[in-house]
Amino acid sequence: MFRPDREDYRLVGLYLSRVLTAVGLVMLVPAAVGFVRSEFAPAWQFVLSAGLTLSVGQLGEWRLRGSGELDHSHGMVIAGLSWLVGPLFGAIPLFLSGHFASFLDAYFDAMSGFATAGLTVINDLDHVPDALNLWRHLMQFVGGQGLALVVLVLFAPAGGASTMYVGEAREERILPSVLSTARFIGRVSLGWLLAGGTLIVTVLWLQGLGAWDGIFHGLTLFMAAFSTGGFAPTTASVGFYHSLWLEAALATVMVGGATSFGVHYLLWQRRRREVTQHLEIRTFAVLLVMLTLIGLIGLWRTHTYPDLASLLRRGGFYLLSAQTTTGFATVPSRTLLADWGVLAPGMVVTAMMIGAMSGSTGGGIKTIRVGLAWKGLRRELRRVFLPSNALATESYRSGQVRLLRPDVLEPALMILLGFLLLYAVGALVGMFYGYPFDQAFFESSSAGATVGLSIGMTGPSLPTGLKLTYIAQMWMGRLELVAAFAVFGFGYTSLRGRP
Amino acid sequence: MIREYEGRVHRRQVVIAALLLVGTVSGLVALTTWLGGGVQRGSLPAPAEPSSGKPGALACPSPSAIAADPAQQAGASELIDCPDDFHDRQVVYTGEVIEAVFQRSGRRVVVLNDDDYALGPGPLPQTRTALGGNSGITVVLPTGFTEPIEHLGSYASRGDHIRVTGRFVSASSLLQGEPAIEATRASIVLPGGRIPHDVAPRIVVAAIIVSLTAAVLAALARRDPMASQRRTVTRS
Repeated sequence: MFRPDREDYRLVGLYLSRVLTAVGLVMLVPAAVGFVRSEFAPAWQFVLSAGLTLSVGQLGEWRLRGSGELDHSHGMVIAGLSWLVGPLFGAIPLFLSGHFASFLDAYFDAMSGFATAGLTVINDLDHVPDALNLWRHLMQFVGGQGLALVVLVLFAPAGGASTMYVGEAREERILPSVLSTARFIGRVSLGWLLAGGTLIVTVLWLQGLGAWDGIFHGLTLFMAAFSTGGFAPTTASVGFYHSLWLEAALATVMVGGATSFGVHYLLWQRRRREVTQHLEIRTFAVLLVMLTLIGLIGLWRTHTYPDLASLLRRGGFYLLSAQTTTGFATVPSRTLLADWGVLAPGMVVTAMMIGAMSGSTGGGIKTIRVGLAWKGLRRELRRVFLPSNALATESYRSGQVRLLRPDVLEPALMILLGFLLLYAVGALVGMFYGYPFDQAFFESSSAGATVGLSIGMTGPSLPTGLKLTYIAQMWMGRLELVAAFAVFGFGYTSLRGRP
Repeated sequence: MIREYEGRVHRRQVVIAALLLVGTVSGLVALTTWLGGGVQRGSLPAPAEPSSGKPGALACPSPSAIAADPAQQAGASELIDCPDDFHDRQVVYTGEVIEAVFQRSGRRVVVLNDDDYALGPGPLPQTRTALGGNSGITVVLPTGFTEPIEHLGSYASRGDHIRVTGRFVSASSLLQGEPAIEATRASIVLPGGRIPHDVAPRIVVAAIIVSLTAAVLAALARRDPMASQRRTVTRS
């Protein structure tokens, strides 16, 4: 697509239509729940939104269908645009609900949902209908699996969408074909839904929620936890339930969501040795233990909590939520500023920036890139101490033993650098609006790494410029930058075109 | 002679398409704003921007002001922003019960919201006025408080308003570190009630029209499977 022609535009339009069809079909679920729960106003709003979205999707399917094949650049552009167009239509029921002061606010939350961030600018969350709350969480569940994956599963016979899969920051094909990989991911998610969902619902029933509330809160919390999304049905997030058992169940699901689907496949094949020696698993575990330990020491020094159990529970869950990029909170957001000192929030920011494993539902730089950068640094240090004619090499395990080669290390370092720039630019805009550096950087890292933890900045009163900045950060962060740059390139080459 | 490639797209066409796209999106926003108007009953006022002074700064009252307040009134935002100032102090707090009542450590535990939706004009579904996010705090109700809490704040109903007097702790040992008010006195000062919800007729009509349109388009898209052969542009 050096210079896009009609065929390129047709293909891009066709697959965006398919994404919209998928989004429209998912909207029918909250519509049905609305009617069942006698929430007729939101139910009709969802029928309207689904009808609009499906109309546009089917119009594209009717007018643009053809036999052309997608290439790599098409896949990148479609993936990038899907994550802009999907939230645009996903915002319609949010805006119709009246809980958002402007369409931009609704778009902010839709982007946050699909990108599995969890930041929100909603007004009066504690009085939203179940149908709307379900839609917020469904967006996260669909976004966590990936829009391309949904298109692959729904429209597999159409073929060709496999390159979109790569564009959604999923480099690794677990099985030989992308379609079988997508199906494997679908099965893993379904397995977690059955096991994790049942666990969370049971815990909520035992902890005092009624029959419907237990099921509804349990399923929505599961979707947010497994997608490492972080939306919650109430403003107080997970802290609302005051339950250690629930936090333990959610922590299990959060770690499952933050674990690469490739590692799930190794576990499925019972290749335990490969799992324990996997570079990404090791890096994730080491960073999680190290950052949590330092964060807890920080909290202990500030005497924030009266006993060790409270310290471990509050600090441990928050840091796990940051590292897995989930964004659930069990302490009020402003408590970090008022009562947590500097070391613990510093570790939260570091954990958010690094994030989860690649090929998972999580965001951030990803632990594999940190692991590769560490290996590269070690190789360079060894080179300094070895004789000049000696060859310094490093290897790592990732399903098999691999030699650290420049074609692996360089892209990893470039993406790592790109993420650091993304966080810095967001922080700069925050400071432009007068927020202190620490708060601006915290919130920017949360948006860029699609975490959703907030230090209190993000809310309905967030300045418009910052809303736009965070929307862009969430979009670019979810796509790990590459597909976003493909969209910029597509726009540039389209306009440059022929006079 | 060089023949022009039929799939070629000129800059002018791209600009026109981009303008059409912007127009379509603007139309979509205008349409949903108009349709939503039936639900919102008027325009929503934009919430206030952060104060021009120091956005994000903690706003704590001075310790002397706290000590001098005979009513010992405190808001959730104050308690969370200034835990050291209020820790271990008697406070009086009023708020709306939200969503559920839990039993923890043998006591009833609730979240009480004191934002504008709770204590001001009322829940957003009722007033259609956007006033920002929610704010609330966890309250451990006294063991002697036996009044039934009949209404819990949700989409369906406005929760009962409870006034509590008790000790604020920045990290309650009863709740393993959660900031909470451990109340010694509590009473329901305003019973809640159901929130009426109207279905806007224009939403229903529009929903039926677009649903039928989607069904027709879906049928058209499936009726003409050979269209692909005709529309595929051969690259030169």
